[in-house]
Amino acid sequence: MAPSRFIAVFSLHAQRLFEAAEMLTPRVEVCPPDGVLLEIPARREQETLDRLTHLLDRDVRIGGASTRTAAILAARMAPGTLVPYHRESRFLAALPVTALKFCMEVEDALFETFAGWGIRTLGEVAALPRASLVARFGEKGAILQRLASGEDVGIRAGYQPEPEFKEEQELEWTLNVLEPLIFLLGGMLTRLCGRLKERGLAAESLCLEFRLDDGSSFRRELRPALPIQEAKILLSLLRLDLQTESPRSGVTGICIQARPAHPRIVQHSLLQPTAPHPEKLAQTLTRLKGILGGENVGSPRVLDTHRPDALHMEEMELASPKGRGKGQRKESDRPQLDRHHPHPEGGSRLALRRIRPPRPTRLCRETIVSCAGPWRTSGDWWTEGLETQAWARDEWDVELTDGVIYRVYWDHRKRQWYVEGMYD
Amino acid sequence: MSSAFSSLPLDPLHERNGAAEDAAAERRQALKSFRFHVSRYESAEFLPTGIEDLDRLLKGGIPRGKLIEITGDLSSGKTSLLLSVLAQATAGEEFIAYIDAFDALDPEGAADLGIDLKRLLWVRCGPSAGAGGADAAVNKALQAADILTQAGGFGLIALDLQAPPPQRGVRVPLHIWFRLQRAVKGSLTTMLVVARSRTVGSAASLVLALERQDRWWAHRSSRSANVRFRVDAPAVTGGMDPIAAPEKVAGNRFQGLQSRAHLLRGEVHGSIPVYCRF
Repeated sequence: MAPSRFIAVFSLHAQRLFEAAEMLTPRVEVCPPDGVLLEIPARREQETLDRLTHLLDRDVRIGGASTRTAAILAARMAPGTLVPYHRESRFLAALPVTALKFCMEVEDALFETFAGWGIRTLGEVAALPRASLVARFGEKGAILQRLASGEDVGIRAGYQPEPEFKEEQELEWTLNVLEPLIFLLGGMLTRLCGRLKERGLAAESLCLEFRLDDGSSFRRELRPALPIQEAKILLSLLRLDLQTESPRSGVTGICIQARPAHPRIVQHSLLQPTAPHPEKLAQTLTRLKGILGGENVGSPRVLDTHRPDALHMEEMELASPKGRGKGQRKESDRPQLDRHHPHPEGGSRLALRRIRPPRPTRLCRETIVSCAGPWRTSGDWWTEGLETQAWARDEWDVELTDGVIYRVYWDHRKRQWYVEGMYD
Repeated sequence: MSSAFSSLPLDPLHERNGAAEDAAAERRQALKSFRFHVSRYESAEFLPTGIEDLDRLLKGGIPRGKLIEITGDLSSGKTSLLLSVLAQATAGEEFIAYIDAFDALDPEGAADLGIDLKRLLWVRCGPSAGAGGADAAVNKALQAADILTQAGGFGLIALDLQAPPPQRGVRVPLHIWFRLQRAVKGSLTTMLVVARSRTVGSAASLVLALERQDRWWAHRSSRSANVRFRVDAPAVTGGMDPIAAPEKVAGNRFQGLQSRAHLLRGEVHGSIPVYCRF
């Protein structure tokens, strides 16, 4: 097995450092707060150093050695040093004792103790008898001596830094028309989706920020029904969204940030009923929302109250028939309907058609053919400060001379008759 | 199955008496019609309505990949029939869309009827969806129908064009219906249009006209007649408003409707009674 070499790199631009390191080797460790440690084959050491200097700024501090400890201390104490193979202890011998604080947490009192003993370099610490060190400092003494000799202590876990999926672009001149803006967004989204795909991720939501020429900014947030990693689909969703609401003045800069999520994996079945294609559904919903408004398209949810017509709209989700995802109802919760045993007596349940909002009306005794009621309902009167939400009413079913059977109610608070809907 | 074969002349003497060829032809015909009958009932080409008599009359239910129209006056049971079909579709784990031109759907009632609301896409085109009167709402509904038929994957798309009184029916150019008919043709999506008067014209493959025949009002016979009495329980008891205090009020009760469904256009013709009850 070829010997490994370690290269420690420290820079103030931590995010750029992580991205560059990931491009060179998958074996990346983090050295808090501002460094990374790369493990590479010995034969690729020079090539890696060349690429690192090419990718990063000049203000980085790089050091290489055959052990982690020596590489870190080389980068910290003597940037640009490549310690030859098996020469770690000789290199470290000249370094001051205080350099140990770059490898582990050491109290200043310990350095003062070393200073009191007349020990100033790591070479002198390495030369001390280990048994005496352990007798005075415990296990920490042994660890310090091993570090001073250039040995690695403990196992460092590989660290995968959280990548930021962000694309920014400053424009040379102001854009006032949508088409060239879409063209630019297309390029940015292609790059963004490429990075997402490399990591097997998809965009759960997109945050757009347009810097405008009047100094303000215009923000939009796009939330598809499911995570998408196709730039083309995201672009068409963005286009529909921007057609609905576009920036109020010229655009001078664009910033897109994607929130990553794992893409949805669905196993199709021949026996499964048809369902809308998730990506096509996302486009369809965006188009519908563009025409009708976001609050008018979705799946209704009935609220847990007796308040009439208490509901809210939710984003439609394509629940898988088999298996139950987070937030999905249990099989037993779903309305069970036996397809081969319809409603008894060969009929269906009576439906009410609502009139929204309920229409104020005046009832004449002459126009009423039949009536039934009242059914008294009320609620929320115990909630202080929410007077508008309280209701108290008497419901009646009335058949008028036009043959239509209405549900009307007398509002006790407003002292008024209202038509709530019709039975049909 | 037994009834289909019981009418066949299986007596060998009967065949020897010179009527053998006739009997064989009759048997083939009976077998053919039986197979046809079975395949129509068992295939995925039909969506049951939830009303057994109507399914029998329609030879299995509402055909898929077609444009269907349900018409009738208000309080004739059209919406009840529509929701019954939607409930059957969601019971079969299909996704459905309800394009509500006048924002009339009652989701609570729909859930009571058995519709799985998680599988329902409700598209509200009524007054809350923007300015404009009935025409604007209908235009938006047709636009939404066009978009949804292009999307595909929905088992059923319901287009509710029933305007509340005093407005009457809506007028839609015929070419729009043919466009929608072509969009669903050959797919597993059925489009159901519900209106107060016939609007789809010759683009509809099946027209069901509902005519109300009767309604039931149960007069006060017992104090427990009113079953819809509801009061939200307060989180903290004490200090109850006398208006809202639970109190049973005796009264009459509206029980339901009886209508007659006429098949005006389609492969079969006829009519059957349809009941809609609470």
